[in-house]
Amino acid sequence: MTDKKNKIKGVKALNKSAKQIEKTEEEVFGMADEDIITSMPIGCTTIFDTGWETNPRSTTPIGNCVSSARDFTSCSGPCWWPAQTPDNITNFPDFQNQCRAIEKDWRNLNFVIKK
Amino acid sequence: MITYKQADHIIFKESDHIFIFLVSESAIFEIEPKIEKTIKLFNKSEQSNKKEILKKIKDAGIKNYQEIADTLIKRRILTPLIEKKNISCVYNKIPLKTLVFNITDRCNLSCLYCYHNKDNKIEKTDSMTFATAEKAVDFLFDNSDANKKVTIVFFGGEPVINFDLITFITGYAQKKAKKLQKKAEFAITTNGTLLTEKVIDFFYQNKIGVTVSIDGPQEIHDKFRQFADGGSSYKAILPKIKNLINKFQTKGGKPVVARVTVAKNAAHLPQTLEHLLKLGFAEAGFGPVTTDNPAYQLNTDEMKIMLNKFKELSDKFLRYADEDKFYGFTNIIDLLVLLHQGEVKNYPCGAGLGLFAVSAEEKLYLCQRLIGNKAFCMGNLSDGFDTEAVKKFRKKAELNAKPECGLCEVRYICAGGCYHEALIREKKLTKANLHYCEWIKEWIKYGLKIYGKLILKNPDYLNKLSMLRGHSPVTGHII
Ligand code: SF4
Ligand code: SF4
Repeated sequence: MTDKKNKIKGVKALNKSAKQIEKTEEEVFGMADEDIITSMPIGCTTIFDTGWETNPRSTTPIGNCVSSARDFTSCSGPCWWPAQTPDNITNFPDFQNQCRAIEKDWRNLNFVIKK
Repeated sequence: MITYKQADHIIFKESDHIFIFLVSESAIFEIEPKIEKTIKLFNKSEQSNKKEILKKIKDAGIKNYQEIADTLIKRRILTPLIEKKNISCVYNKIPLKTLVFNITDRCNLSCLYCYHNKDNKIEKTDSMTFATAEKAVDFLFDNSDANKKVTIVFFGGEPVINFDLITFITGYAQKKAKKLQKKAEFAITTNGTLLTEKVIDFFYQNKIGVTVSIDGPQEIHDKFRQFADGGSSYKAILPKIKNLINKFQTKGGKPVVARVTVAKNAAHLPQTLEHLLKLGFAEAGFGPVTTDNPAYQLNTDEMKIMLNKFKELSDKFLRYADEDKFYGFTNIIDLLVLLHQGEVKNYPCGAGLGLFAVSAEEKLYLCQRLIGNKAFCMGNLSDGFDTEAVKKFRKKAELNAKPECGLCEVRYICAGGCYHEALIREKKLTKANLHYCEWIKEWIKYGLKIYGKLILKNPDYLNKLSMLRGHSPVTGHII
């Protein structure tokens, strides 16, 4: 995936957070109804990086693979992937708050209960 | 159909370039004039669906209205309205990352503005024992879970008074880290008075990061940082810190940094920074004194002066940065890194999350500044964390629980500010620090300005700064 591909005319991402939005958008709009947009990507993993279980890496995402890190935030809504997260579109928008950088902090993710 | 609203944002301009900062994403984009024009068609309170958005842009005579509407939505400048439901997140145990050791409450200086001084109702206790220290190191590792790296901070009082304990903790933690295949890092804040050859060598050999509390040239430093008899502490520390810096520089130790407490007046900041950098400090950071005593506090006028001096120093930093050189003004460096990393903060700092402080009586507190304050005790080394107290704190301290910050443009950067400051000035730990809002807002906006300028002139410099602070550079895409 190149930088160019995600560029939209008129708006250029500068910092990390902006680049993340740029990156996210492709999948959101690639896979979902155009009206849906979340603070996190939706849809399943696009790559399956086999072998990560036995080969934890030291770079981010620390200790797990690219695709599994994405799953923590990707799998909401009608998704079959086992690492499903609570629905962060309507009911639990703050679900990932304890993870400032999901690729590093994914271990902090927990389940949520509705009161 | 989804309803959208304009995202909270700040637009700022630098030499014909337009930038937008999205408040709840901490994202920074450069935008073209037509995008700015389109954004301005919407107002804060307005809610519209896609059809209405398209119509509005079209009616304004903007070409490619469809594409532009998509852009605004995709880049979250127009965001879907989400009704927040009452939810409670059961927070997982957050792995412990940093434990601050209150090595001793004793200090050989009697700085007038110190929050440890006699007027404060903080219980003073004996120095920490070896047995307690050992227990605390074990506690840190036991609770660090998957964290591969833990940090031990030596704090006080003046921690070097109890140098034997520091050597013991360092040795013990290193051994333990090795056994567990983890890494232990160390940092110390010292007043510099006791930095003998032996101490300096030890710091160097064990890669301890040293911060020296020093307030500026002699006449400024000695005003508040004195020995109990009123004697000059500047004279006492000068040869020692010179020796420290010299050793660290020649041998390649960690950069030695200075921490300046700004009390009563702030006009001296540029002169002070210049002085400290000349002494060889890699960086110096400034913080206004936390006190409710008007004799030391910065009044409104002085706060204004401080802001202006911060701006002046940031401009100087920028001039250096443009030429790829470095000017060690910590405050702007930290702010630029924060902006570049696009951090979204729901808590102002790590206190009570990954960071706790431990006292000589084996009690755990939210952070070093709250040690001894019973109301903020979060457990002890024998029984572990008081989970109820920690949970309660986390719930109350979260940005969402501070309605006064709800509309603030910098809320995800400030998140209400330091708890200790809030306790002293607002009389409640989890209250927002409303007394310095205007200040913080203006400072952060100035930071954005500097960010914009730097992006235009030397964008890679921001990556270098990020790396200096232990982040990976921001290039291309993440993940
Ligand atoms: S304390 Fe003030 S500046 Fe900080 S987030 Fe709250 S309202 Fe904003
Ligand atoms: S509460 Fe204040 S002093 Fe304590 S760690 Fe947070 S910012 Fe620092």
